[in-house]
Amino acid sequence: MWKYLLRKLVLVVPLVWSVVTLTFILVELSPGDISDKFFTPETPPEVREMIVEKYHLDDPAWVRYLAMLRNLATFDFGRSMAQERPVFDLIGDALPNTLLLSIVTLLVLYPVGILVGTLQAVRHNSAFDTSASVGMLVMFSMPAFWLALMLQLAAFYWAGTLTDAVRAGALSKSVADLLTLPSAGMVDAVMYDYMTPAEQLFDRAKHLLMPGVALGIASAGSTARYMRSAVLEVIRQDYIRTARAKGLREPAVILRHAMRNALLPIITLLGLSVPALFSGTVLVEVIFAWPGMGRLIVDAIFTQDTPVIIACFYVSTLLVAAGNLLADVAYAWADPRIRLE
Amino acid sequence: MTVVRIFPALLAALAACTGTSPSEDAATDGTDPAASTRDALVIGIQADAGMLMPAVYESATDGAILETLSYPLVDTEFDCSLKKMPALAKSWEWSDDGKVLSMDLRDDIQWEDGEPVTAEDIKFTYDLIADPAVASPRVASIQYLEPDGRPKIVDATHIEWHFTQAYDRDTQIAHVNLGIVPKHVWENVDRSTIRGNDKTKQPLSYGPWRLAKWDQGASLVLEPNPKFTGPEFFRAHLNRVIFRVLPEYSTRLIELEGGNIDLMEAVLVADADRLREEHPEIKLTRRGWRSNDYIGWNLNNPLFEDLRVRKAMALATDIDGMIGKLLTSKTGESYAKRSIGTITPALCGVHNDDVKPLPFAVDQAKALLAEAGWKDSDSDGVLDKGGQKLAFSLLTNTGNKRRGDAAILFQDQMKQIGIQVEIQRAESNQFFERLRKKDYEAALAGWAAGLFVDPSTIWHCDQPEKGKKYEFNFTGYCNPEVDALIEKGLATPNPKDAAPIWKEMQAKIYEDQPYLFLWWMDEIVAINDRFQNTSIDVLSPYNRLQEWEVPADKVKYQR
Repeated sequence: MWKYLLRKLVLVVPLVWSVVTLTFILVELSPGDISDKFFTPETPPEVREMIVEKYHLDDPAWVRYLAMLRNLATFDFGRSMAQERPVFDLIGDALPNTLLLSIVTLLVLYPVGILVGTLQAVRHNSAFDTSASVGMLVMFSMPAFWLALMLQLAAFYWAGTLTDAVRAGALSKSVADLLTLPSAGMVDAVMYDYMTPAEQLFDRAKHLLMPGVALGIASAGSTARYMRSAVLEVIRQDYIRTARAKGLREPAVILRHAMRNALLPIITLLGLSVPALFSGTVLVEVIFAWPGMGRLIVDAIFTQDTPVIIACFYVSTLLVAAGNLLADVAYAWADPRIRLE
Repeated sequence: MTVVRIFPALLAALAACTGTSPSEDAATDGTDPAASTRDALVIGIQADAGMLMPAVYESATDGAILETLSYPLVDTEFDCSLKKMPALAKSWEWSDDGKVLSMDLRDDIQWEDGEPVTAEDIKFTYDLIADPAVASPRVASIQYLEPDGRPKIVDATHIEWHFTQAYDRDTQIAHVNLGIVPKHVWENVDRSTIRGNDKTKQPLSYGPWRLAKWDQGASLVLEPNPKFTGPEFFRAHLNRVIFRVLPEYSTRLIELEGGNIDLMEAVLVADADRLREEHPEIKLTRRGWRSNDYIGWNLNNPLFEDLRVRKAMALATDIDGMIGKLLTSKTGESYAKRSIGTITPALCGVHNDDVKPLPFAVDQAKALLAEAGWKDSDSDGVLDKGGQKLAFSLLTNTGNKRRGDAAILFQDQMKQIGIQVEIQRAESNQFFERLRKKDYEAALAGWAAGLFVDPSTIWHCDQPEKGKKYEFNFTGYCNPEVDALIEKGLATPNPKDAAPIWKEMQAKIYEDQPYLFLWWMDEIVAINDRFQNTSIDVLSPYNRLQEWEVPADKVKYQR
């Protein structure tokens, strides 16, 4: 087990190296650099020259590449060229927000997928199964950014309906406020500071809802599909028949015997969905104004802020590798037949 | 393509300083200075503020926020030209040769931490800007200032700015009117990493507002500065101003329509009608002619050498029709007007209104082309001369629907007169690089308006003998007469005397048709109508923020 882990960890090094190198090459190939933002008629050319000098932008690419590798090897991400803040701080600000969004999404939407998939398998070929299959397929195929925009639109009309209801006297203002869904940001930027702690918590949860759904619904869809086929396979096994034969009631058969075993492939899926979650955050965070890694990457790409771009991909790669490793370990732990060697 | 950089601190007030006693008492005796203030303004912005530090800030948002935190040397207001009113500088005068500007300063203005704002702070600010280690985007402001006169401190309340030459006085004022950096805070920091210093996130106010809170990437809150010691009329009227970072246009729009933000810049013409119809509470205002679009001819290309060809293409382009299609709302509100040059019509004394844009006259265009020797000898629908076809590529940038549509309309109109246009689209960085390297045939691009006239960057010939290259002269335009006018105009101190020179220059450039000048555009700003006394203008979408207010019966936010 430990040997296995060590080998995996060692393999992370070439993986990270190739991702970082590829990123560097792509950034190199795209025209222009950070000094371009000073290329305006109002800015004297000296400013651009000063910036070029400061960040050694006119050094040959291989010199900058080696310098970058040296820095990354010591976990020194350098400073952002656009903001001059240490990249470490920028990621430190953004990463927790992204993790919050992805983890909550995982925790909420996976169980939904698992539940729906199991129910589908149990009522195999029923109307519910068919309609859920279609529904899950639709969810799975929906691009996150499109869904995000549609959710915003829905929330907007929902807010309109609530306002009308308040006007008609069918709803009190406070209930309407409670039911309104915010379409951007992590908290209510205007009133958050004046809320009680309980209200603040509720406000945060409300703000998580739509980005979470947009981000996770595709994963939930695929989870349901996997779960359905896994349960279907398990349900035909002899030990299920045995369980039924010895007189166990159906819920116990499904929950204790079928689901437990069917969950194994889902654990792997969990690890593998970390990259999907991460790439999904890029657009979802921009649309929902969520200040996380996705937005950091987008901004860095637009301003050609090389150190930030590289560091973001570096950190994402590490997280993805960690996700895979975790899935391996969890799998071995959950299934005694598997030994990591 | 470029960001308008607004040089001076441009908070304006209506009257001169009358020496109203600063309300020190109010701040110290526990009276809440916000007691008379009410409601909050929520502004949706595309990108977060970056560095709230006058010497190094970069974005227009940074500049606008810094203005709210400052009490400028000279209070300026823009109405055709710059109006100048006393503020931190009680009075000023120029020497006869226009090279020395002396100022008499107030001594009662304080930083938020209680330290006085002094002449030393001003000098320190300009020292920072001059220091190459800082790489300040403001170095244009010191290019004509003597190193020991930026400024020379005569005594605690008297300073002198020494210029190497006399030039446009409004620009001189703009150059000395930058936001001030507190010396006692910044004196000992490492200058090469100023941008990354945490202090750029905690600016010290000496103006009507202070930074109350900043959740980076999410929101930024301003509140009235209780320690402001400037005149009473310069105090803030609103309780809070909240900037919310909403990167996506559609998100900002939906937040505006849902009432979750009160102000949004750069509303698209396509959305204007709907906002007007469905949201009576949202007022649409115009910021004035801030940016233009043009088609530039690469004059190094033999195809465009002949003025008759350039003129024919302008005559054959239905620019008014394009404005009607692309920049006019369905109810007929037009948000563009034809342009004849790169000086914005907002500079109304300087813009040459006498230059009449060429008419839409296809027959004249055809006649001109025939006169220039272009005819369709092989009847393939494309004109040719000496075996060469009148065909070229038009380069524009991706991600700009207006320009993309304009390119297609232009292509169609050229086809009518036998000119074949192939549209090329490049991603913005690449587009920009190709313009710089003159690696294009024709290009559909645009400029943001500068409020201080300096046409040299776009129109002056390169001067290899002086080692001077004008990098924004993308077309390679070179007319010694225009150069002479530019140099004369720039060296004329009185803006009134310079105006006729600039007008002559515009007429000459228009005659030469180095661009097919298309239009100036009016930016639409949407704002909730409960706000009064707002200044949404060419300087800033939220100018003179301290004067904005809400009538008592319309207050939305109690805090």
